[in-house]
Amino acid sequence: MVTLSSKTAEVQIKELLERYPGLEVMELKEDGFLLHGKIHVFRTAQNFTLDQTYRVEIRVPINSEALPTVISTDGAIDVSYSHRYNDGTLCLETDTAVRMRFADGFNLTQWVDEFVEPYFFSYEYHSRYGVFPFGERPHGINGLLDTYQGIFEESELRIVFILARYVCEEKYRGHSDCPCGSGKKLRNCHGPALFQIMTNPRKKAIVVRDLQTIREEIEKYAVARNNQG
Amino acid sequence: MIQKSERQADILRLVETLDITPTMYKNAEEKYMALASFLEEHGIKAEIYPQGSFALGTVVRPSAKDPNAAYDLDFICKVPQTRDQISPSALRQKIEDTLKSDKRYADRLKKCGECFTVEYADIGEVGFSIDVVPATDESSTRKLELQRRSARPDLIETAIAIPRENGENNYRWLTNNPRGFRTWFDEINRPFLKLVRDEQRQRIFKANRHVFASVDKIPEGLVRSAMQRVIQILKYHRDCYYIHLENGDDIKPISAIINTLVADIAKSADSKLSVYELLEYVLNELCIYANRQTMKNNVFAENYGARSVISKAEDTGDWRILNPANPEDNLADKWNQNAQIPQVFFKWIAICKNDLIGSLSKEDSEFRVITENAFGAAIVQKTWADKYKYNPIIVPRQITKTSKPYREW
Repeated sequence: MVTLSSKTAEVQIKELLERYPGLEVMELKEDGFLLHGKIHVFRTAQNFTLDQTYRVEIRVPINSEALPTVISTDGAIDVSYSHRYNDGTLCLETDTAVRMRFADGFNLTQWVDEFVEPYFFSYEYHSRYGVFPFGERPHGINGLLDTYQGIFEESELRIVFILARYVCEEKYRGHSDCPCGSGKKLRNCHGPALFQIMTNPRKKAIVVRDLQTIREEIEKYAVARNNQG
Repeated sequence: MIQKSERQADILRLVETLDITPTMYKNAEEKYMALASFLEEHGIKAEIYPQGSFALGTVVRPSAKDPNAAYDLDFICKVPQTRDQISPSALRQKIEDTLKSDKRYADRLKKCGECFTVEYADIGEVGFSIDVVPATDESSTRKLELQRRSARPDLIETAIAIPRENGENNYRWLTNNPRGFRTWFDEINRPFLKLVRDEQRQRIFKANRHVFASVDKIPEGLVRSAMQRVIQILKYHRDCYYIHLENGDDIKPISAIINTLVADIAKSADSKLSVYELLEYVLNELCIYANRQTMKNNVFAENYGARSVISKAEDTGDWRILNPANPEDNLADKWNQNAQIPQVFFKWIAICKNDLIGSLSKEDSEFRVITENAFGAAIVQKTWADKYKYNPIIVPRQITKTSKPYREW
């Protein structure tokens, strides 16, 4: 899905370094690149502007399905912040949300622009106002479901599940009834959201894997309930 | 080289743009005097006088959130009857009927909880509205009760009773004392005012020759002491901050709290302090009071002495900010109903201190961004143009694709 070959990674990193001259390649190993340095975040939203430089370490895996990761190395993110792992890795978004964008054909520079910079923005905004400017994902499996509620533009979880199954098991037929049961034609209902996934093999593969994860969670939940009852 | 005094002066220039203009002031005066005449013509010989920010000289422009927001100027409309001679519902009805009888007022009239709002659109500028609160003199029984409990019984004489909504179109009497509050406030403000009065009157006159025929004609209500400026700064910063919270309107500290806290703290300050010196003093004091969140009364007293501008009841731990003109009015009563309110209040104060005092020692560009976040980028740009910017050509990029932080476990 994200899999970067060493050549592609090189090209993308070159572009990244041009855009963020404060970064440099620290080392290159078989499994990927390690970059470090400073990024300047100068972004605005909701009448709040962030103008600050952060020291980070960015890991770019090659020949792997793993996603790039970033660590804040200057203590800018408080250790108690809920969206930070113990080793300092920043929890930018659900894997699915990030993979979907890579499947759109975007690159490392866009990754920093769309995920890393807004992460710092959210953090500072939250520090100041106590609320998240763009919301936050719930933890664990709920975050995954939350992501799909966004992708399918559907708030009812039961329907999210139905749509995910449709994506994995059916072919897109815009003129047939929408699987959500609204009675409307697919193309006039959840069609547009499904279409862009079903016609992109990389995106579809993400949904297939996630559906499996969701099924496993349901299974675990059912077993737990059975054991209770 | 960082010039703190220059930065302070620039911030004050910003704050000046938030004030009502002399033209608007004159306009408002004319309007409320016209309202008094109108009511008299219709048989209501009421005394109409300003209360709140218009009376205290602490008006700030409404925050930029709502482009149609108008300056709110509050007035008391006291009728000669006593509260025993007329019911609160009848009083409201009388005022409402009278106002509605004339198209000029009927068209601009809105009813709100305690008042009637008459809206005026100012030509070319932000509009203003006159909030009229009907009232009667408080009864002598009530006044005696209040005097017994008050640390300032002399202020109670001016207490009034206003109709407070008690269900659908039903009203009961509520005691209030805006005149008493103003007396208390003006007493504390007097030495601060004396310091700047003459120089300011000259300045206002020179800048507004088209409005005032001579210096003598400048109304006292246009002069701003350090104390009044500090209140304006805090009010506007508050407005800009709380707008980011969904329930901001419900939990932000009401202006009466800000007026009381600043004046009460200023009592112990040197009246020769500049605006910024007083601002720093007030914010430092309020940061000290933040410790009441975690310290019991005796521990707080050990560390910080007899500070009582914000206090906590010994038995219940309830927050108290007493209205100096009405011993029954705990301005912080909402703090005891919603724990979020004092929590966010002290957080806001800490941020305010960092924004206004802490920023003075940062690099130019950081100072600029902090001030924009504090007061809004638009007003900063309007008053400062590109001053303090690192590079005016580089503008912050909007975040359009939003992402939500997440944690798997």
